[in-house]
Amino acid sequence: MGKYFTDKRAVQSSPASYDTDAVVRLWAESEQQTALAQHVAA
Amino acid sequence: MDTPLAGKTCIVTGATNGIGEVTAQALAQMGATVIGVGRSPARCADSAARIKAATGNAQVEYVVADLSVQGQVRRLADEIKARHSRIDVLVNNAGMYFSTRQTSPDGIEMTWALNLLNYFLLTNLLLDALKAAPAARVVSVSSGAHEGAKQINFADPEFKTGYSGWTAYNQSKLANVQFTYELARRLAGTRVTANALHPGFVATGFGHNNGGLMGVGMKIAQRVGARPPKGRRRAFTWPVHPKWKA
Repeated sequence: MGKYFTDKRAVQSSPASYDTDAVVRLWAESEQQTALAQHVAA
Repeated sequence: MDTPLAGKTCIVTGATNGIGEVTAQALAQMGATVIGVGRSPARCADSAARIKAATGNAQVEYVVADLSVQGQVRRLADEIKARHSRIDVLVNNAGMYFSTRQTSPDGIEMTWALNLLNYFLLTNLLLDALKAAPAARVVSVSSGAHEGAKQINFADPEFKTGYSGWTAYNQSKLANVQFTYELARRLAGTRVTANALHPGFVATGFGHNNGGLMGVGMKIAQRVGARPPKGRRRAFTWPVHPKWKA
């Protein structure tokens, strides 16, 4: 699992950062905006 | 000399000033083969020379690329992969604050293009080479500023309406954390880890491109801050130190 660090310690990032739906949606939007699927078999 | 990273290939973007250069130098000091990335050929040459002189490590090269341009991210990835079949560390750091709304040559709002899509695209293009390493690390520099964004504005992530530099910046830093969490989830079961970090304050060129309050404030802060203290410098590289476990 990815972690967020500050001063060498893993700490909680903001509540919004753990919004699973947003995380998945952001990935999909990023794929689309970089046309990644056309270049890399993900 | 203690060279725990000898034989490791490490990439640092935004490596011609501030956190990026400090990180690149620290990795070189630990014996890594370092590939720095920057936009300006002159600054890339300066940073490479400075780091080689300071560390005595000749395995330091800089590649010029404007990472707000997707074609340049792709070219950079191709150039790196042509020379290195294996990458041990990728530090996504290149990012900026834009006080006014600007668009990249691809027509994408600059904060979104550089601070987020660059991390996403470069990391994905280098994934095969990262997976080829025995224990690779992707470290994405975010910021405590991510807490300033309540959510990603999916309806208008590029702020075609209502742009503010800080709103766009905070959103991009939230996106860096979310990108990292999803990347790590997708990499579960591989030998690649993904983490994000808040770098804290360092003397940096960050904000120099902007006029106005941010530019002035940053210049003053930089003068006061001068060079980052040694402990702080280490803080940027501990996520890639071999003793560190994710």
